[in-house]
Amino acid sequence: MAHLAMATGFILILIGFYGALTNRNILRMIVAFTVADSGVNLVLVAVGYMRGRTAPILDNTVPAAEAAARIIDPVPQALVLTAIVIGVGVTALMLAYSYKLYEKKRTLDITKHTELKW
Amino acid sequence: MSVLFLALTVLLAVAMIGAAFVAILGKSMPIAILAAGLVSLLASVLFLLLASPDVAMTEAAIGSGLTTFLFFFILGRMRGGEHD
Amino acid sequence: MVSAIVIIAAALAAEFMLGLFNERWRAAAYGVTLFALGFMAFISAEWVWAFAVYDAQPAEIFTAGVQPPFAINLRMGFPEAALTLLINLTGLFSALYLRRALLEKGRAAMAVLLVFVMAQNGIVLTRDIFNLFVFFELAVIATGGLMLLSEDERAVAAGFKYLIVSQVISAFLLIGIIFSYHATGVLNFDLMRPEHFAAAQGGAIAFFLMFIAVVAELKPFPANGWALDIYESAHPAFAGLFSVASAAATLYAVDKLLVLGGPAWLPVATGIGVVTFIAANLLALPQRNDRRLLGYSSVAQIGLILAVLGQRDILGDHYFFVAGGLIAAHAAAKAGLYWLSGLVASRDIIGWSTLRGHPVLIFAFVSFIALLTGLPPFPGFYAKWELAVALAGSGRYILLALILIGALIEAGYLFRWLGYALKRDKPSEEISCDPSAVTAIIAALAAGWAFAYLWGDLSAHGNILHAVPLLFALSFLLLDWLPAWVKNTVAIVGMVGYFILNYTDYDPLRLIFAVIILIGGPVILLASYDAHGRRIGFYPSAMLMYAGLTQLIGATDFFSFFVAWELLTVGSYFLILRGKHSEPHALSYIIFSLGGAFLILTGFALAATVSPLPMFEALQHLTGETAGWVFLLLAVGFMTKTAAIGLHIWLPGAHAEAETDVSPMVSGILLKAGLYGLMVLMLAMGKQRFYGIDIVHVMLWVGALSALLGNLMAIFEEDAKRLLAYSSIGQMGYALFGLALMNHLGWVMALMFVINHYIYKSMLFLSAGGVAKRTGTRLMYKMGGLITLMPLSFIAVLIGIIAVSGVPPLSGFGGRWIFYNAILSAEHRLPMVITFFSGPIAFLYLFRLIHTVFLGQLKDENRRIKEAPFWVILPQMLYVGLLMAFAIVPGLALRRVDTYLNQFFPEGGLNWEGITITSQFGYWSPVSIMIIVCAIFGSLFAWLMFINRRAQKVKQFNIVFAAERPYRPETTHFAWNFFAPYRKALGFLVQPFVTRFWETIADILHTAGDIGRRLYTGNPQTYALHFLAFVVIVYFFWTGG
Repeated sequence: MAHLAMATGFILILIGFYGALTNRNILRMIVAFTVADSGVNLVLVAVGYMRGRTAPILDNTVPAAEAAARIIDPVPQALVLTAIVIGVGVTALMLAYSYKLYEKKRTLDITKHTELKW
Repeated sequence: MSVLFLALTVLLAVAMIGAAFVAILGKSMPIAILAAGLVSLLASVLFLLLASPDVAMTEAAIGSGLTTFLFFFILGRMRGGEHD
Repeated sequence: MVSAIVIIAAALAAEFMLGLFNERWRAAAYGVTLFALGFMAFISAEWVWAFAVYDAQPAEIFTAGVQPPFAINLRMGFPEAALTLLINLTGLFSALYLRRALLEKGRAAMAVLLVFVMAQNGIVLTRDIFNLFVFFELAVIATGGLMLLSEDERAVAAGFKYLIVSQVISAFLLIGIIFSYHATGVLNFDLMRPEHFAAAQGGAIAFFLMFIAVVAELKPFPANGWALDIYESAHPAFAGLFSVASAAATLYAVDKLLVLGGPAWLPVATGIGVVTFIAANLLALPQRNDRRLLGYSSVAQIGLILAVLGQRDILGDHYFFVAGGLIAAHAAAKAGLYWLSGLVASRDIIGWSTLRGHPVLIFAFVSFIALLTGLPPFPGFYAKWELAVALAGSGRYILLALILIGALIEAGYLFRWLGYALKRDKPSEEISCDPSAVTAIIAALAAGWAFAYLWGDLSAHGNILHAVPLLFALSFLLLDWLPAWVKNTVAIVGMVGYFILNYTDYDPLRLIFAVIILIGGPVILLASYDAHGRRIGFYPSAMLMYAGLTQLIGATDFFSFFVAWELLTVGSYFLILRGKHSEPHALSYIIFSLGGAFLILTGFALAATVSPLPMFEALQHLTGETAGWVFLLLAVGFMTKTAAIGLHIWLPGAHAEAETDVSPMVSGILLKAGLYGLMVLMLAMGKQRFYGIDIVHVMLWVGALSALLGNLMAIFEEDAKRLLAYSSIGQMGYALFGLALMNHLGWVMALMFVINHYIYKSMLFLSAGGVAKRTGTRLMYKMGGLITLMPLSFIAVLIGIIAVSGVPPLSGFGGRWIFYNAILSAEHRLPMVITFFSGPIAFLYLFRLIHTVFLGQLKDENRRIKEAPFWVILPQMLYVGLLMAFAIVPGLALRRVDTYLNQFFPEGGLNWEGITITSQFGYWSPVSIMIIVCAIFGSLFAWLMFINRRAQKVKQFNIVFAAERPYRPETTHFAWNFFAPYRKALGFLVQPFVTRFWETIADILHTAGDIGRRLYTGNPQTYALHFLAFVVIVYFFWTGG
């Protein structure tokens, strides 16, 4: 199951990047990056999954003493939580950029914003 | 139990990839944003299946909810540009 | 001592505090920002002090009170302290520079700036790879935030492009991190090992993904289009901060990863670094926008440092010295140059001429350019030396060659920029003198010089800034406000005084050079008394050149020799640049000189690795193929300075366009530096074979051809000073020929040449300059008949050409006699014949010089001119006296040298008995010759005076034309195209083949740069594709190679 999730994640990344690099509309690029981010998060969580084990939460079903044998690796989950939040931060920043670029030129076509080159 | 999980995973995977394609290739902007939100939602369900409930909650709230809201907020601010 | 985590905490506290402020309390917010940055810098400084002075140990900071791998830890070691100090200081001064912009934008901008600096600190301090990712993302967000707040709309587009590419990069980084975690089980740098990666399946790919993502943040070629747009459009203060801080932090992150990955990854880093260095410098050649140019230069420098990071296996102890030196030089120079660009209104590099008139700013600009090109005394120079020696020692010759080629291209465009700034017309816009901006620039300047001193103290070869001649030259920078005649006197006294104190230390060979430099120099400086005003910039440059020359003849090890070589090159460059039309010639000069210097560096690096002995002995001990290569490299390097044929195209322009008192210096004295180098080389190594070819034999040919072609080209010149310049090429060819004969008399001849050439070339240049000053032109066909109006100049030129041509009784004749003796005992015939013919050819142009300028018809516009200025005439008369004296008693100079040469060339010496000199083939009696010639001349002259009474005077314009209408008046003057028949016969030999060759090379480089830069289309999706292509290419090289 983890392998399936990982594969899905990679496919999502590919779809996301493909969309980001071929779409001309800035908002669509950001949407595509969101999809790719979801894919990355999926891969991260899938790496941490171990077959037959349960969530890394210590309560009366999973006491601390036998936790090490019963839970999946908690570290990737911590990484993913951070990554999700960073992802939304960057998305918000990119949306602010798209707004500002739209304000300047009244167009969301990325190829119209290429005065700087060479 | 695990067969059920496996079937559910396959279903989710197919649905996610389908929604991703809609997000990338969809004609209208709001549909694309909603499709991206759907991808996140389905991903959060998959996280649940992968024994990560806290990640699932975070993804659902932030990845699905907040991001979709942000998109529509900006979209609302810009009129007419999304048809480019 | 304050714990390093307070740096991060202070920044965070300040950011939150800013959030609590009222929007109107901008000044207070700004104060908090500055205080926070200052406090962070203070903490770093405290740690640097502790490591440097008290030899403290690196401190680990455990967050959450638990040790890794259960918590994240930070480390504050010496590199971390130095880097964070650099980052924080740059941040502080950038904030100072940004005062106006920050106060306008409000708290948001200040907070984001603090986040940026904090993130860079975090990247340096952290020991956890995911923490590294978080800080990288923070830096990305902060950069994005700052660009979003820019006024310039192109900056907003640039920021967006950055975000797009960084999204792709961070995806790669995350995947790499998670799979690395999967392979090693930990996230901590110190607990991860290369073996874990090798053992786990896909572990190598995981590391590859992480590595390539972090390297991509360094803006390698070609994945760096986004960075260039940021450099071009951002506020200059931020561009400077971005260039310095993020580069320093990310380089250290790459260093941490390289330790993690093991030695297999070092070549990858070197490969990426070198390709980036060369490509970025190449693409910078066609750039006109100053900030984009600086962006390319930044990318190139970072590439170079990345290549150095990949060489950590061979650099060993010197690793931090070399890498740190390059980072320090890059930091001070880039920050300073970006900050300067904020003052200049024009965005074209030509517009930087507005800096003239602000001496401190010009000095800053020159210092920054020197920092970037790695000239002494700056840290880049020490770093370059250590790197070259290490690379040569490990046999990585191709890498060394590539790095030097890239450095030469970089020097090319940087010096072209310098030439524009110093020589082009000033545009109308003035610079904006914002006090906080100027403070920041001065801080960068001070830092640059402080680094120079610091790296000198840390170097194993002694601090360049401790050498007395150099300090003497630099003191003239402080004295520049004095009038010219005061500085002139100080210079003359200083040089003569140094000679008197040190002359006993020199052996006879070096004594000759010392006399020419330290006594001959002041004689030429007498002519400088003619100048009025303060002559700002002349004395520091001239003294720098003389300092280099002085240190050159005193140098005993490779490093000091090379330092002196570069110093004299730089000094003479600035001196030559002072001429009115000399900008392109000065550029040509510095490029050829630096090219030659790099060849010398390579030769020295090869020789220095073989043995650590002083220079002379080390060269003697070389054997086999190494010896051949070293000899060849050093010989070609020295021959660039003597303008041997093929490497000579810079000389005519440089010497002709230089000022009146500069031409004698560069032609009379500077060219001898090359000869000195050749002498030392050949004395130490003798004859060498290079893959079977006898190099000395080739040099013989080169000398003969230089003599022939130089003299030929001089014949067809119309410009008096260009004629003399080509003549110098010819004369240097003679000297080279003499040296290459490798026998006793050949060397005596060469040394005699050194002395003679100095005297008469200086004299001729001075008189040509004096005449040019009075008539307003250097073209000889516009002169004529000046003998009556400028008699002293005439006498000087007359004596001069008699000496040069070798007609008795003057010293040229003695030189020729020695020459014939020398070739009679040598084996090679054809080069001899060529050199022999150069003699009469030389006489042709010499005759033309005196005939067309002084004899013949006087032109109307010249009827009122006076003799050349007194101070220009005085040295010439001194030289006349010297030539006469030297003609009668040549033993004054030559006798000791002759005896000294006996130890190297035992046979063939001269016999000095009384007033006659004997060799194995004949004898030479200077006194008798002088007496006989004077008697003949005297009697003829008396008879002429007698006959003259009955002569009939003919008016000047009594000339009849044969029914021809001259369209260009000058063509009717007898002096124009004087040697037309010779040009028809021999002109084919002087086609500008060599000039065309070098011009073609320059064109090819420029076209390559122009084509290459089309890669950056401005579209961020293209840039993201570049990144993906970059990853694929590196992957294939890594798996294949």
